[in-house]
Amino acid sequence: MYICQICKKHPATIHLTDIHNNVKKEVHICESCAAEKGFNMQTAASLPQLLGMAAKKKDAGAPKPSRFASDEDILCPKCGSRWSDFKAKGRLGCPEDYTAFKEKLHPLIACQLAVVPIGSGPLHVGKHPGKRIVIDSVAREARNLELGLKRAVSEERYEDAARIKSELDALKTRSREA
Amino acid sequence: MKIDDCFKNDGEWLKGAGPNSDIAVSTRVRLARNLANRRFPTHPDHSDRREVLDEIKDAFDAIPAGSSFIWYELDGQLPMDRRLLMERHLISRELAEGSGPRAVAFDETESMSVMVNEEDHLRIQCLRSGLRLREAFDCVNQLDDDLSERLAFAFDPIYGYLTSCPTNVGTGLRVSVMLHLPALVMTQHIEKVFRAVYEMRMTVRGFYGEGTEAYGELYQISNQITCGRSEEDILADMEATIQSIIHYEGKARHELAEKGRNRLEDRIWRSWGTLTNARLMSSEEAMRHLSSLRLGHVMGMMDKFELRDLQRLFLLSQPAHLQRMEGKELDSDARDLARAEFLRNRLGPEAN
Repeated sequence: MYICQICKKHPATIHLTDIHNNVKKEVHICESCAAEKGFNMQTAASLPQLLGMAAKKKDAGAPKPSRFASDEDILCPKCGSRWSDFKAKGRLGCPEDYTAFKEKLHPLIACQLAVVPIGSGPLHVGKHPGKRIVIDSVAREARNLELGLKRAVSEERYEDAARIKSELDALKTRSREA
Repeated sequence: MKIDDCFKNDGEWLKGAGPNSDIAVSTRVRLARNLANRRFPTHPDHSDRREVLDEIKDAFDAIPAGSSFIWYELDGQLPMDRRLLMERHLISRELAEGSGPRAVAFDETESMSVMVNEEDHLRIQCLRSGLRLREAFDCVNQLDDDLSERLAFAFDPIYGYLTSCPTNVGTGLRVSVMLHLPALVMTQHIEKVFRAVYEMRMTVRGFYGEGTEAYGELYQISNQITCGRSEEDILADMEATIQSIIHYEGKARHELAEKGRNRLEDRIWRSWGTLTNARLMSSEEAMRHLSSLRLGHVMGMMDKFELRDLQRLFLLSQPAHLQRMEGKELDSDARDLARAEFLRNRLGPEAN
């Protein structure tokens, strides 16, 4: 979950990405700050404008140094890329950068997830090279039925809901027996 | 090889077929992969990109599926030919406009394509018409399995598949569905839908993917989260989100047909009038009117063409395809003139 870059309080629900001259910029803001800045999804304010807004608000408030201002630059010994290159372009130099920049990169990757501290185990769930994956068809079917059930209830189609419920129960019984 | 010789078919996404094809135009699933111990293609030092390309080409030649792929190197090709591939959704704008050794491998049906040396060494993608997430995933998953027997991919047990941009790390899986949402635009509910999409941690992209504009009320919805969720979960979340957007678009279409029928029919037939009479037409305007016709067709208000033929017009009125038909380069004004004439010929009274 991103936190709004303007108020730094609310969760950001509006995410914008812009690539200009190979430089990637991302802005994450909350709805109330978006509304306050007169940002309308359909008119789509330009990203530099929004970045400008964020900077202005920061200057006006308590003198908080930029998150990276006092950071020392880090160098990847393998490919020679620097952390500052990544900050400027949004792209890493080589797979080794994930190790070289771990301290800084890990929180960025983990902030999408529930786990944050380094050393809390793998973040990745899913396929590994050389290990084939098979999608669990029972789980998939159960999930689809649950979704259908929810929708049927919300749309007050109770007969459909009852039918889906009994299908779901039958599926669960079958998988338990198996 | 001449680029024209590569296109034997219409391209999978143009078929106008598949589940929910009245709203879901196409499904795209892609995996990002990189070779271990190599610099990412985005590294300023490009010296090993040729070697990477050759290594991947060798792997392609060695796998059983490899023989069904057309291998096309982009360096040194005409910008128009590269744009042609982009308009067919076989390559991204980034690959089309990039530089240095890079390639695309695609199959004859134009449903599978692999970009080499885009932002990552490999972008394995599958395009299907309609909403077919699992089917598209199965195809890329299989090719990934085959290639991983020949190539060592950069993988970390903590972060998963390592990618040039950390927003792809983990599964490297990006799932996008192109939806045609004219009724949600007309009823001004589209903003609400986008907000819900962002809350589901998914994102809305334009017609040609990241950083491009939405034309013709066509929007690509794709997942943002690639790490910490399994492939299966990402697909299931996507399926649920897309199904609910489809539900709302369907509801909005129904409401328009019930309460705003005159307004809707007026829009559709005005677009018909413009397309069959205009003398100058920009590609954006063409997309807008073709979007109306698509809506009119799937809602049973207009039966002058097949959906597939209409989808083809979306593609053929794009700049590079138009110039390919005309057999010469045209500036923007000349294209607008040629596009208007082409659309009149295809749709107007002389068409049948």
